[in-house]
Amino acid sequence: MNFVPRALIAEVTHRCPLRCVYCSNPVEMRSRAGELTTAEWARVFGEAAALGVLQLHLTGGEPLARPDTEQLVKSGRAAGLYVNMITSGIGLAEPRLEALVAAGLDHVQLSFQDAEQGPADEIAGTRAHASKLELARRIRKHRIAFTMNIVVHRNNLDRLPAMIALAEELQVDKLEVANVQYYGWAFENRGKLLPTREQMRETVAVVEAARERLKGRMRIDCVLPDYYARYPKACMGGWGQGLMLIDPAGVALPCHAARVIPGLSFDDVRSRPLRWIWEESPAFQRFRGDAWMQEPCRSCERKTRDFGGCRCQAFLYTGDENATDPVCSLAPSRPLIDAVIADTAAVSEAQWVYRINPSNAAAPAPTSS
Amino acid sequence: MTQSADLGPVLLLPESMLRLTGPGPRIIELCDGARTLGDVIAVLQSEFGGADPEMIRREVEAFLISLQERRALNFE
Repeated sequence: MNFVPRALIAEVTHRCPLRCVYCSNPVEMRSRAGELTTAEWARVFGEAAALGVLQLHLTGGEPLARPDTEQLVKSGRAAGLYVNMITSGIGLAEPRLEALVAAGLDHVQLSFQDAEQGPADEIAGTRAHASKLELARRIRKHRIAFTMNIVVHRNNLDRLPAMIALAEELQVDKLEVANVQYYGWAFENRGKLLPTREQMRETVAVVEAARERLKGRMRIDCVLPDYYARYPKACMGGWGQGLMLIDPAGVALPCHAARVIPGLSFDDVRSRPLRWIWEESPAFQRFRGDAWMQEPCRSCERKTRDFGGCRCQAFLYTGDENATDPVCSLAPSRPLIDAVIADTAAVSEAQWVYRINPSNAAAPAPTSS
Repeated sequence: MTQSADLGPVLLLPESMLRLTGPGPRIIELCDGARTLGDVIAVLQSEFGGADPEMIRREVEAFLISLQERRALNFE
């Protein structure tokens, strides 16, 4: 089968001023010293475009922690890619914002932790909320697509109406109500983050009403936790089928969490052409097709839609990366998920596990491109 | 809007894309921030002279409203 990647997630650094308790970065992070240079990223964007990639998502960590973000935007555009930047916005002063827009940035996704300052700053582990509001008002003055992303979970979902009102006030084009996905740091904190079943029902109702009211002015995307689903999500649209992620050191991965799966070795763009990694590398081929599947997936008619669900989640819960995703109602391991859901009824006494930063070892010598 | 080697013309949106067919790419091209909705319709009516002008107006409006709902464009 011939798969073409359409989106490249470029984690250009793992450094970040925030310490969010649900960060999707791996628990073992890359240090600054190993980060790809400006010129290396430019080459990778060109290779990605040649493979069929259309969209580039610059993310991190915090992409603005690098001094060359404007240049990365330019390189992405020069390769013909639509360039999106996913940012906390911390420290983004107006001259740099103007430079990013001038460099050709198509879309900014600004992340929020809450609609209220106190709880927002608790999640981020630092004071960030007020500066995000100030930045959002400045972004809106530029002719650029603007999405506000709020990560939601048990502790803030009751404020969803206030979040929607804030998005309206900031006049964003799109609001993403993104439930935490339970990998990385969020997996460590899942006992404190997973919403209750009642909150799920309420979320669906609130979002539906807001969509109707705001039609044509603001789009609302809503990602619900798959723990409450009957069937698993088609994780990343299928392993190695349409999307690739490159980490700060240039290692190419089929998804954010793939490193938790033992026995896979991931190739990096310094040693291999991106085309080889996508088309030939064992890691990207590992879960393509259905030869790896077990029952109940193998004979299931849904396997062409959800591909057996998430391989990382299967491994995290069962220790077997070939197992059916445990969120599936047909999975033998589904009781493990039901137990986590049952625990949401109790107040968790656990402490937050905050994200830590990678070591701040010296950066490579700056390169021109 | 870009040209994909295997998909043809596509309109790229934040985290999604729209494959364009028929007069789609031409309509997007005409939405340049300067032309009014009326201008865009008039250009297409002259370029597709064989078709019913009223039908062209209805179809262009419906297409652009669907793009507005996806937040791909604004009427200003």
